Amino acid sequence: MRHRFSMLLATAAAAALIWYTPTGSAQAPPTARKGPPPPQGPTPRLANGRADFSGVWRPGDIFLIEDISLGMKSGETVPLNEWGKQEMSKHLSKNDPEANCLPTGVPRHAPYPWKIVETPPYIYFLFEGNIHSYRQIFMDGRPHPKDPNPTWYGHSVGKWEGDTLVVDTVGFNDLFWFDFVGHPHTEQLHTTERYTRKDLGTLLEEVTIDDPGAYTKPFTVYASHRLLPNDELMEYICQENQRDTQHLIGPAGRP
Amino acid sequence: MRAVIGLALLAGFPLSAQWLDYASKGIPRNTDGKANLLAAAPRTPDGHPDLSGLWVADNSRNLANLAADLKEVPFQPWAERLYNERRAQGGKNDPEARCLPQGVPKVNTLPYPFKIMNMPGEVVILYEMYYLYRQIFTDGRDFPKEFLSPSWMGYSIGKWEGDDFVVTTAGVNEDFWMDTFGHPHTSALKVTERFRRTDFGHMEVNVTIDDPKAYTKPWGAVIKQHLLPDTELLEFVCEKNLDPQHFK
Repeated sequence: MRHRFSMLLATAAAAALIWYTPTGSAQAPPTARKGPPPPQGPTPRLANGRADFSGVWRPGDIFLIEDISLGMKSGETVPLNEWGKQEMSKHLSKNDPEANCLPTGVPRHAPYPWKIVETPPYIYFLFEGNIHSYRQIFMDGRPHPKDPNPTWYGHSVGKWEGDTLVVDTVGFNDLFWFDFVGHPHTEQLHTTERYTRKDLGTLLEEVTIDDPGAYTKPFTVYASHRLLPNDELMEYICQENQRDTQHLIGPAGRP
Repeated sequence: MRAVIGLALLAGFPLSAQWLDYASKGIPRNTDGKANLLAAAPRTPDGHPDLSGLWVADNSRNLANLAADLKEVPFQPWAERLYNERRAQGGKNDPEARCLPQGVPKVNTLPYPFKIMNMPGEVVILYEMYYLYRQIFTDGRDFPKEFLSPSWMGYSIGKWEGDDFVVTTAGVNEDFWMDTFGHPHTSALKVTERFRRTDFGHMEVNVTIDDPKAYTKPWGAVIKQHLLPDTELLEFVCEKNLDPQHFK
């Protein structure tokens, strides 16, 4: 527990240091901040034979925090439409909802551990950071409501395709950003997340973002999460000591 | 998907109400189709009452005043002074009003639902209010020797004593109020919650407050809860931190 905590503090400290450097410099490639390698071994399985997703995970790639374009396939760019470009250009770092202790929405992650809890007909994602909150996914085949109340995490329904958990979400509010650089979205957002436990230590995530309000076509972001063995979620309450935003200056950008 | 919608229609559920009126599966029902809240409490395969489900406090009596049923509270003098001060100020410094967690035991008294889930080695409770959660370890562990990081929900361990699920919590911070009136506590606080599901639709949480630094002896409350069938948790994020300025 102490080990992870100090590791996260170190990460935060490193991020803070880089934060104050002018945009465009000192941006190490995302792979440079990956931390120790995940534990090795085959994918664990439940009694019914399906892959077991339990365990505490930490976002291994920084894409879903900093800049989703870094998680796209080589050569692809984020297909912002005109509205999306204009909206993004207006975003200032101090207004990042995540920095203001609001939920990250989907697919953004906070740089803190999370875990998957399965209790039929539900799956919950529990987050240590990101306002110490959770996501609810209905696994019993129910449809989305016709006119859902817009929320930070939307209305999620999921299913298993073999060993892959597929989560389909609509009903988002338009308040969160996809990343530090401020990729926007509208209430038309529809996400499809695909999670696969590749081996003991690696959970792969693939998210297709479909929002005709902000993007000219759907696009897909790839990321991975690494297992933190023998670890537990701690309590992180952002609102407890929210003094960051006054120090955030300039347009939305990577730390 | 279409088949599912068809089934829902056959069962008489309007399409507009797929979220808040969604029939829970596997619960006892009366002939009119309504949940039978007086049926026997379900049990887990190991024979304990199964606490899982969506619950909410019967009333706000103990939310306002955890000591509502007591003639007097065994305050230490400083704690009584602080309590009176908070009462006089109308709760304007209540951390909850600034979107901070309610802490234990206040989480048992909220007017919003909470969901109990039995997981291997732990019981997880999800709270609709502020969309927070809490972990109660049931793997037989003891408290850590030292609480390096005092927290709002504290460190909770749970075990069964007969039909009571007994949760002991320590390692809390001193920042939350135990109720709206502002009963104070210190980091020496140890809370015992005895969860007893009396039948399918009803549960009592018997809370004991043991904080010798703030109170001369333990005291507590019994908070009655009822099951909410055929509905789901909603997302309640405390977004607008603008309330306290209006408190007087």
